[in-house]
Amino acid sequence: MRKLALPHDVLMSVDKPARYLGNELNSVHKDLKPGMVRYVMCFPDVYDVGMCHLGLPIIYEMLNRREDIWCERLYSPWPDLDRIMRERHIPLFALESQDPVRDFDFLGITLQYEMCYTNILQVLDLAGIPLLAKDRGEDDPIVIGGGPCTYNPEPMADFFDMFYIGEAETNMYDVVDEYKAARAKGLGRREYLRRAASIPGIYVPSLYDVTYGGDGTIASFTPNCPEAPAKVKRVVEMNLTGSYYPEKPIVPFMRIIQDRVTLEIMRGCIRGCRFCQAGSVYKPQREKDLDWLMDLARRMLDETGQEEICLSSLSSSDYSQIEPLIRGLIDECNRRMVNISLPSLRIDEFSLEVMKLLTDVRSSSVTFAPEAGTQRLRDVINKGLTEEDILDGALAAFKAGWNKVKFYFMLGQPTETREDLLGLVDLCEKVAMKYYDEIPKEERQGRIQINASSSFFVPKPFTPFQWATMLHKDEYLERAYIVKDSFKNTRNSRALHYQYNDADITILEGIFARGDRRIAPAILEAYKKGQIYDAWSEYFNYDLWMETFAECGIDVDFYNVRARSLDEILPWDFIDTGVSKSFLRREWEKALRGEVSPNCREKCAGCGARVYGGGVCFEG
Amino acid sequence: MKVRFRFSKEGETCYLGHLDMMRFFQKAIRRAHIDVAYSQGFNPHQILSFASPLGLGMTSQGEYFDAELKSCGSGRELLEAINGAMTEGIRVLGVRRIPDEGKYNAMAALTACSYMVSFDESFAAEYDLCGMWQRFISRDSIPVIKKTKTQTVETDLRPLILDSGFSSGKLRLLLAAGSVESVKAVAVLSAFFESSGIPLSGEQAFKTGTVRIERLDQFTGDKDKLTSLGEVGEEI
Repeated sequence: MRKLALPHDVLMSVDKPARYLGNELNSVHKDLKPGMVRYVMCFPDVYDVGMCHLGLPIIYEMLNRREDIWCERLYSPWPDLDRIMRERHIPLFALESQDPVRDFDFLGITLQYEMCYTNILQVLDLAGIPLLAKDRGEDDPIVIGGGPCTYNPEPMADFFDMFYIGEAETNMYDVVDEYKAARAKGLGRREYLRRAASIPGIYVPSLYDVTYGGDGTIASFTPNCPEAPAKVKRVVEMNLTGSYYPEKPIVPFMRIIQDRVTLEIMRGCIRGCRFCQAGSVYKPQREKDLDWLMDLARRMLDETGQEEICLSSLSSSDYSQIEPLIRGLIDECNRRMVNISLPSLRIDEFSLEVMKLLTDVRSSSVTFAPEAGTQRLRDVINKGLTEEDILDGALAAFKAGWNKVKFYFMLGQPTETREDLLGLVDLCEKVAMKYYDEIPKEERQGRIQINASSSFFVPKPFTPFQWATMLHKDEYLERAYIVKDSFKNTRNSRALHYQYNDADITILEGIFARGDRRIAPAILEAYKKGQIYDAWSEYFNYDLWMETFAECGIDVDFYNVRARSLDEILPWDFIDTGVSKSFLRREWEKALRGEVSPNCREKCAGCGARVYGGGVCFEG
Repeated sequence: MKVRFRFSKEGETCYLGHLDMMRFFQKAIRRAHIDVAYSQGFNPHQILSFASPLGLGMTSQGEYFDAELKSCGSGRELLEAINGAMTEGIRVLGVRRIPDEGKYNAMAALTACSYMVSFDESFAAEYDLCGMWQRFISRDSIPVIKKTKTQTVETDLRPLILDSGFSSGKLRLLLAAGSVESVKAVAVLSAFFESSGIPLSGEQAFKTGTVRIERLDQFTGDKDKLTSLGEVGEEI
């Protein structure tokens, strides 16, 4: 029997001990050899959530293909185990080898959402690694961050030795090879970090100095050594077909949030929704080859025995081979008794036909994400979905037997007025009326059910809305109340349901999303007060955060509601995502004028991503 | 046709719960391309039924589930196929075809389970466990108070301990199980400790690792004529 890091009595006293075993089918176990580079990849949330993520398994696959590297996994211990580990001084361990994280060469941490920041400090702390990068010594692992939140890594800059900006497939091996070379030459940590800084995509925060002006905005952001480039270029994998992919995905024993095989069909998006960070920082849209995808799907199902496969992309309907892909998968999966899950499909004739084959029409619903209630505001955000599209789609769904509709909206977007809020309710009502007007009584499957939900908009770096102002918490709630009240007064109020997401989290996401290095002390302080698992409502503590910001002298309004000038140096301006700032500015100005922009296939808008030399930019 | 699978659960797989094991075998059956039957409807599931759930933290040499198969080759081929889809710690030990009637169902037919209890060395050195057990088991009745949500009832454990024996410092237990009358191994240990003046509950002793419990097998039939669930039916 392999040794376990946690003794029997601990495993017997925590919830779901299977989270901490690391012995799942297809997990990679290697014999340690001298000179082997030990890498541990962390998703800083509980196993049940972290195991659903696709990015980490791609890196796991890529690194483990090399014999001189052993990449293992790490997830945040749940608070029950956290408490025991602190009481009994049990060091945090990697799942596969069960060895202490502190013994590793690299600790990679993915930053998937802002609300996991305190969990990152929890992981460092439990591992016995100094929380601040400047306090780390030669025996500590190199702590490297990646993922979507690295498009503004500044609030977390003090805690990381380096960030990898972009897609791991391109330069991850270089990061390890440079490390091996530095180690062979007997070079220390600082020297390695300087050398790594010249690898494209690598950002070493300690090699940059930031100064601030009298108004609190950034006055300068400059490298302090020759190896660090003034601009860190996002690296992008242009050949996704045949690239590293988890062909033997790990099969968890316990039930996780989404226990299925994930097939990533493309990266990037042709749509130019102005609020969407993913749509901007994953440009250009790059598709994977259809035959390769079919082959991957078969192999993954063979290797895992999973009973569901899910297509992953930002907008699956824009994959140019979507029809043959789905038809091929239906054939393959029917034979295997495997379910297919198709999120992010536009509602049209084809998707309804497919959904009818795959789901139970009576219990499932059709989903629209208009994001805004009026055409005017949808033009501002450049969401290319018209009221006509929605009403036609809904009618087609009703005729096919559906009577449940879901709507996703965002409140608090730039230029939003009371009219837009009421328009949202009006849109839902029109869809309800469509059902009663167009579907004869005898063909109706009961009453229509419309579930609308809204979240509050958080402006993100590298989007045209990066200059947008946010609102105060009570203003967000007021807008949600307007919508809620209006829903109550509709004719079909019994059939229309509305719920809105919390405004507390929005405020915090806002300050983390567009904050600078001066936020870090507050994150550290909140953690020291015991704050972890902010993404979980039962652990999130808004008052504690606000109190901590005040104690640290941080003005939340400076980051959230202050109007930024277009020539201000933004904390993330040192990153070059390929999409130019002048394009973002043009889009922001068009947004304020309510002008739409075409998608990448209709007409190139000149965003700048063409420099990557492939994808949709060079189609046809 | 209905096929019964017997499997062992060893090492760290003892920390996997009953539902985890069901899900594990559902996936393993797919990986092994076994021709299992599915239920009808929009969410078809494999027709499987598991015998008595094993407590978290216990290992076992005698776990069972029954599967409805549409076809299969020889028993040997089936065994090879499913073991090709196992993971460390879990092994299928045997397969047999069982009669279709519901009364043969692994859960319904269950009447007894056997266990091996081993003790932590320092704990065993502290007490004369063997002698204490002899005194405990020679009692005519072992009344215990059972608390349920609504009431407390007194039951006698003695008739539920069908057989027992101490050898090489390990305690072997044969306990009534199934839907009519049953008792858990930790409950027997609790009563044993209490009656012997050992200040520890069975649950505590088990959770802290003072005792380790392994299920050896599960049985069907009357107490004087027990048959292993793994011996019912015929070879394939």
